[in-house]
This record gives sequence, C-alpha cells and structure tokens, in this order.
Amino acid sequence: MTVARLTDVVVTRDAFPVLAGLSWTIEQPGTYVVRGGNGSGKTSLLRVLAGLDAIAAGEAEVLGHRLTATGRREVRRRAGWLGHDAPFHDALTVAENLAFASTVTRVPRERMADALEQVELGARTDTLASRLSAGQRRRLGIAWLIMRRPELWLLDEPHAALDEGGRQLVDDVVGRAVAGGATVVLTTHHDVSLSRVDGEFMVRGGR
Amino acid sequence: MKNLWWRALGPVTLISLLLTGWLGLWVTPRAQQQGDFARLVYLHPAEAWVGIYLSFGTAVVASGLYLWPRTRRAAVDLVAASAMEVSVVFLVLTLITGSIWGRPTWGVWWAWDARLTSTAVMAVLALGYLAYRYSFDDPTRRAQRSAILALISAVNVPIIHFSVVWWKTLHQGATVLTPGASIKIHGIMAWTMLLSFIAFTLCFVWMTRVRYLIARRAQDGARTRLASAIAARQSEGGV
Amino acid sequence: MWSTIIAIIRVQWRVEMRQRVLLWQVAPFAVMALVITGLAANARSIARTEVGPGLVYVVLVFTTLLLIGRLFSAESSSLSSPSFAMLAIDGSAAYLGTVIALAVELLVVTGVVVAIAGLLFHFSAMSLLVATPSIVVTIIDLTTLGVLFGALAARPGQSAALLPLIALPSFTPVIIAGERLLSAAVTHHGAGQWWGLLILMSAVYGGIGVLLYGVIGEL
Repeated sequence: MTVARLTDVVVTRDAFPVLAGLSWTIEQPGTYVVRGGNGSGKTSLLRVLAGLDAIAAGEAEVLGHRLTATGRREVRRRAGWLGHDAPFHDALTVAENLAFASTVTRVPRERMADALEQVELGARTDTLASRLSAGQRRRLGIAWLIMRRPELWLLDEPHAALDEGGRQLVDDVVGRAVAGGATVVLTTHHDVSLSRVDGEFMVRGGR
Repeated sequence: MKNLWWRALGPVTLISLLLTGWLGLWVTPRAQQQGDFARLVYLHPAEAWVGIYLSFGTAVVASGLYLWPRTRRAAVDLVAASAMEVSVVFLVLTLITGSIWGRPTWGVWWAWDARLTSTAVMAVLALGYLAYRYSFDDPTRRAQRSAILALISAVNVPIIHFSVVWWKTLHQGATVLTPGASIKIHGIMAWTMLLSFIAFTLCFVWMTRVRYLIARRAQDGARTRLASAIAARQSEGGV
Repeated sequence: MWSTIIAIIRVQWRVEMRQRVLLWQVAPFAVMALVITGLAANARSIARTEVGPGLVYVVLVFTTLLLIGRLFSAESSSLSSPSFAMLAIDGSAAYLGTVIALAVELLVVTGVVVAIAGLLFHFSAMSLLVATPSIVVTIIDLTTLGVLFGALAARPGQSAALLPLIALPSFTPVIIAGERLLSAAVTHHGAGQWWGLLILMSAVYGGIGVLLYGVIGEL
C-alpha cells in the first residue's frame, strides 16, 4: 500500500510558497528521514502529510485520502504529530491533557499509565503542563503518540531539547512503531542513530 | 456582439443617469407639500433598490454559488466581492439621501426611522464583510470564509429589518412618519421614477463589472507574483 | 458526540477555575462598565427604568465579545496548535461544547451584572425574577452567534477589532429583543412577541453553528 504520494505540491502561507512543487512518494511503511536547511520547507512537508495544511496546487494523497477538507480530517484521525507544542492545554495537568485527548479521540484511557512510564513522566501526572521543561513537554507528546498508536507518525525534530536518554527513547519508540507496521517520517538536522532507515528525502527550496 | 453590449453599457448608463437628472430637476413639477425635497423620489428609492436588494443580493447569490462545489469559480467570488463594494456605496448614498429627505419632515437629520436604521446596520454588515475579506492573503481561504460570512449575514438581514421595525412601532405607537408617503406619483413623475430605477440598475451593472475587471487584474497579478515567488523559492535550493 | 461535548465543557471550566479570569477580571470589568454607562446616561434621573435595561445589555454584549475574543485568542496560542488540530475533534461537538461552556460562564457574570443593575436602577426583585427566563435565552443567543463569529474571526495574528465589527450588526436583533423583554418585566408590560424572535435566532444560528463550525475550522 502506498502511504503517501505528493506530486508537484505547492503550499502557500500568506502568499509565500513554503512548498514550491514538491514531489515525493512513500511506497511502503518504514522509517523515513527528511533533511534540509532552516526554512527549506521540512516542517511544511510534515504538515501537509499530517493533513494540517491545504495544498494550493498539485496532487496529494495520504493514507488513501485525497487532501480535500474532508480528506485532511480523515488523515488527521489516523496520523500522529510531534512538534514543538506537545501539550494540548497549558493550564491542564499531564494526566488531564492525556485524558482529554483520549476522550475526544476514543483512545482507551487505560493506556495512559504505561505510556507515561515509558517516557519517564509517571511521577509527573499531576504537574501542570505549563510547569514542564521543554524536554518534558516533548516526552508528554511522545506519551500521547504511544497511547494513540497512529498509522503515520510525523515527528518534527523529535530529538531537539531531549537529553541522551530522551533521544534513545525516541529511537526505541520509533523502532517499535515501525515494527508494528506504522510509517514514521521525521525531520532532523542531526545524524540519526536509528537502527533502520528506509528512505531519506532532501528538501531544498520548498521541493 | 457580447463585447459591443459591454462597451455600450458605460455610455448608456451615463445617458440614462443624465436623463433622470434632467427630468427630475427640470421637467417634473414641484410637489405641493414637500416642494423640491420631493425630487429625492427620483434618487433615494432607486439607490435603496440597488444598495439593499440588487447588489447585496448579487453578492449573497454569488457567495452561495461559490460554496456550491459545482459552481465554484474564482470569478464568482470576485463578483461577490465587487457587488458587495457597490452595495456599500449605494447603502451609504441611501442613508445620506434618506437623512436629507427626512430633515424637513422630522426636523432632525436622524429620527431612528425603522428603514433607515436597519439600512445603517446593513451598511455596517457589508463593511464588516469587506474588512473581513481584505484581512486574508490567501485567495482560496479568503473566498471560502468570506462566502460563509456573506451567507450568515444574509440570513440576518431580514431578522435585523423586522426587529428594528418592531422596535420602532411597538416603542412609539404605529404613527411612523415616512418621508415621501404623502407624495402622489403619476404621469411624468412615474416615468421619471421608473427611469431612475433603470438608470441605477445599469449603474450597478457597470460599476460591478468595472470593479470585477480590476479585481481580476489584481488576481492575475497575484498569480504572476506567486509564480515568480515559486521560481525564487525553488532556486534557493540551487537546483 | 456527548462524551466529546462534556470533555470540552470540563476542560474549559477547569481552566477557568484555575485561572479565575472570569471572577477576578471579567466580572469586575462588567460591573465597572455598568457604573460608567449609568453615569454617562445620567441614570439617577427619573428615566432610570427607561435606560437601565438597555445599559445592562450594552454591558453584556461587550462582556460577551471580551470572553469570545479571549477564548479564541487563547485558542490561537494553545488550542489551535498542530497537536490540538490532530485530534480532529468533530465540529458539531466542538461548537456545542464551546457554546454551553461559554454560556454558563456568561450567565455567571450576567447574574452579577443584573443584581448590581437592580440596585443601581431600582429594579424590583420580583421584576428581575420575571425577567430571568428572557435573560437566559438572550445570553444563549449571544453565545450561539458569538462563537460562530469568533470562529470566523479567529486566525493567528488577527486584529482584535474584526470580531466586534462582524458580530455587532448580527447582535442587533438580540440586543433589541433582550432589552424590550427586560424593560417589559421592569415596567410590568407585556412584550411576548420578542420571545419568538429570540427563540428563532438561537435555533437558526445554533443550527448554522452545528453545521458549519467544523467546516470553518478546516478553511
């Protein structure tokens, strides 16, 4: 099954083409690394794959859905996102954030304790999200992905702000997800220590 | 042939407006009660017709057509925007002439007349649409969201109108003085009034078309700029 | 759908309970606005039962706009983040949850405003009791409309002036109807026909909101 097929995709933000005719096909599940300099369009590519942004021109199909308004919603139901903004609400605690997300997405709440243990936030369930450090917020985001078990994982610089243990955690989680049949697309500036990489994509000048 | 029609539209509009002015100012008689003020009957009702019904209605219908997938075209969205701009012009003209006309009847410029008040609210509604519209950079998003706002506003127009009419009549008794109510229209006056409706309708078509052509040119310009921005963006990568 | 609606309401109220913005900022603002408009309208005069109901609704409309502006600006920082959008919450449920949560918050402020207005403009307790149902329905109208326009106006970097500009014309019938009904309660007159208008508007805009809220979010 083709995971995603982008053909000459243009995405504009405030009349600026963040993606300028990008084409990329992900033929089968696996781990894919997106590289490129600052402002080259890595995050924009991830946003399109996540169904977050509408495309202005070109053809795009992700997880079998064309990226129309309804198609993008379907994609978002089946994909997971890890960016720089992990929690859903700063005024809620770690547990409340995950409980809210699991209720509205119908993910079993029983997965929470285990997920928090995996990201070493088990002792932080009652901490307000606003009091978490950047690395802990990232870990909270990972905990949600572990709970949600999406088919397509989109990780925007997942190693940023994480210590050595955190980076190892990301690599382990990614490894397990791919072993379970999911597709992981991640952007990075660093050398990746992932045990398995199925493809790399270089973004230059928005394509 | 089609082109010829469009080319004739400007001059025909101008001639019909001048003819309305000539008939209204010199040929028609003075009214017995209101004197020369009654000549606003050749201006104000036609302006209200264009501002409230014709142009606002065109904008709303075009917005609806844009939201309907089968009739979704960029041109339809531009027609909606152009007609709404014309609507604002005529709504403001309606308010000004209505206020001038009401002055001798009411003794004040603004007497909270139900129709004028709901027209004023409608003018703000139309201005809100334009302000909303021009706050977007992305043309597709602008078109979709503005169309939704136009339709929501359209649902509101009759509700606003009836609420203001109710408010007025229930508040102060049903003795609403309406300027022009005491004028009997006949003969040359009726023909002049009819002509004013035709002239202003033509004026609406002409103004909307000119505004549409300007908007289309601006859109073509934006498209060209986007194409060169895409080329510039691609060359960042040093292909 | 109901579990989503309840989850949204609970989150909104929990955040409110933690931040106490409604209690310590919005309610005092509304009371102060009422005092100022009372002074500006010279409401100590005989006409206070004439102008009082109108002033109450002027204050409530601006309080509504304040709360909705705040809700959607908070959304543009936290709730409209990519992580939140990835939850793909059902639009109808999001709309209803937001409206219910906000309407209750507004009713709390309204209770304070109306009680103070009773003191300032000499409304009797009985007349306020009679007016209560109409006040509740008017607030529901303002919320159903306001959340719809809030969603339309919400965009990162959007000017705060846009929401009042597009919302106020549509608020007009609600303000008139609410004022007439409150006035009627205070002066013991009937004004039953305004009920129809209020109920029609909440039905029409509630329906539009349920249908379009999700669509607006996708555009």
